[in-house]
Amino acid sequence: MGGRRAHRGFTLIELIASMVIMAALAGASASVLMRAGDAFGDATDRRAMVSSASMAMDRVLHQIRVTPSLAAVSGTGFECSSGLVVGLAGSTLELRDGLGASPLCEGVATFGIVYYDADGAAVNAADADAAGRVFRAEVRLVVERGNERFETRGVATPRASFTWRQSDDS
Amino acid sequence: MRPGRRVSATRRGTTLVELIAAIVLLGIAVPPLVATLSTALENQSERVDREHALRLAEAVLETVLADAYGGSTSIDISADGYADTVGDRLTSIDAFYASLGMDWELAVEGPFDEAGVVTGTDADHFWRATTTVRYRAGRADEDTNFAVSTLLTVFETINDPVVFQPHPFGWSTAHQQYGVDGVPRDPYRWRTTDDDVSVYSPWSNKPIDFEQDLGPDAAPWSMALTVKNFDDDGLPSWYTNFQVDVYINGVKQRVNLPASDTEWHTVWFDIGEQSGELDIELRWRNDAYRKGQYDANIQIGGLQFAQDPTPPTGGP
Repeated sequence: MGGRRAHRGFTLIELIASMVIMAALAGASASVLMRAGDAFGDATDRRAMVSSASMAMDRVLHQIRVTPSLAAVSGTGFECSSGLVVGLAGSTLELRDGLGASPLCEGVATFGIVYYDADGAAVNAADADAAGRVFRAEVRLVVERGNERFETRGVATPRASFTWRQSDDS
Repeated sequence: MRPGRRVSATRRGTTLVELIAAIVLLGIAVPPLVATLSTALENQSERVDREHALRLAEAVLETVLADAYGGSTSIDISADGYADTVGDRLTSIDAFYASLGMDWELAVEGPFDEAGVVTGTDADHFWRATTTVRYRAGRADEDTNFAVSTLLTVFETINDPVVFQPHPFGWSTAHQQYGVDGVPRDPYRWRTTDDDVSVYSPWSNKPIDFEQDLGPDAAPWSMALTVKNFDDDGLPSWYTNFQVDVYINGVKQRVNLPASDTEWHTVWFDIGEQSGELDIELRWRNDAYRKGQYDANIQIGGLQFAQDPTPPTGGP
């Protein structure tokens, strides 16, 4: 009966044909979608890592720029005359002050600073008077999380070394 | 199905045609979604490139700032070819960003006036440094140029004398220098002590200038500086010497002067064969300060010249 044929459900043949077609399509697209999904996940992780490292680098360079003077320097951190300290605690880059430690970035594989004097000569951070001679600092930050790695390098010049101050506070 | 009951269209099964149509629709919709995902990933890559480019541009400009206000007489940002020398001081930074496919150029323009017109007139002491970072972003066919500028001024000497007290060997007249670094514009100063017998500075790297006429005949001369610390907090135990760069007619020599909170120390040093008017600039280099604990502030009580120096005793 022709009218009934239009309203019937699947036949077994139709169902099997559909499943075969869907399986073929799914097989073709699955690897693409999985790769895209993985890439998206990696990108999300990388974005978080880059953002974290970038903000940490901004903060470190900012502290160097605005500190009234440096009280102590080393190849892996520095202390401002205000008592604020920037340095590593394990694999976490921290900013420590009188209120405690604030993490700037986690998963830090390398954090290094090289200092230069006003004539561009490298300052030996081990010298007792090294902090007073710093005129430029090159900062290197490498962050690794899982398979992702991000490296950034920046330069900061302490503004106090050439801005004009009237006070006697240092 | 029982006879006489109509089959509702909403309860019937799906036909093969409908199923295939749905699959086709999915086939049309998915590729753009995947493409969108790919674009998002590419944007992420470009964001990282921009992050690197900005960091590199900042590094170059920070170096220019340090050169402009660092007080080195061997570096002149207004000199021809200055831009070529910046890379020499950025070797590590330069190599890292070059490995990422980035290179940079630096242009220093000026002097220009308040309208931004380059006049070349020294009185218009504003300068502009522009760094352009060039890199190839993602799958782009062309390079991306990323430029950042900063405002600078070149130091200018003004005649605003601070006068030392007379001394048996004769004191010089101190001139302040001032500059504008694009941020604050207040003149700084080496200050005279309340009794006007000496000058001191709480900040290192700031120049103080002197002039001394040694007469027309060339002869070997010595120069002496008499120094003491100026602050109630005192020096830290490890601070044994004031390091002062002495520039005589632009030629630098580093002098180490014993540092004490209580005693004046005078140190004579050879300045070679000299004659005529000397332009002398002093820059104290090794500040040390920790709030409430110690504070190194160099105090200069004497500046002396002699052909046959006999170190004087005491301070000013």
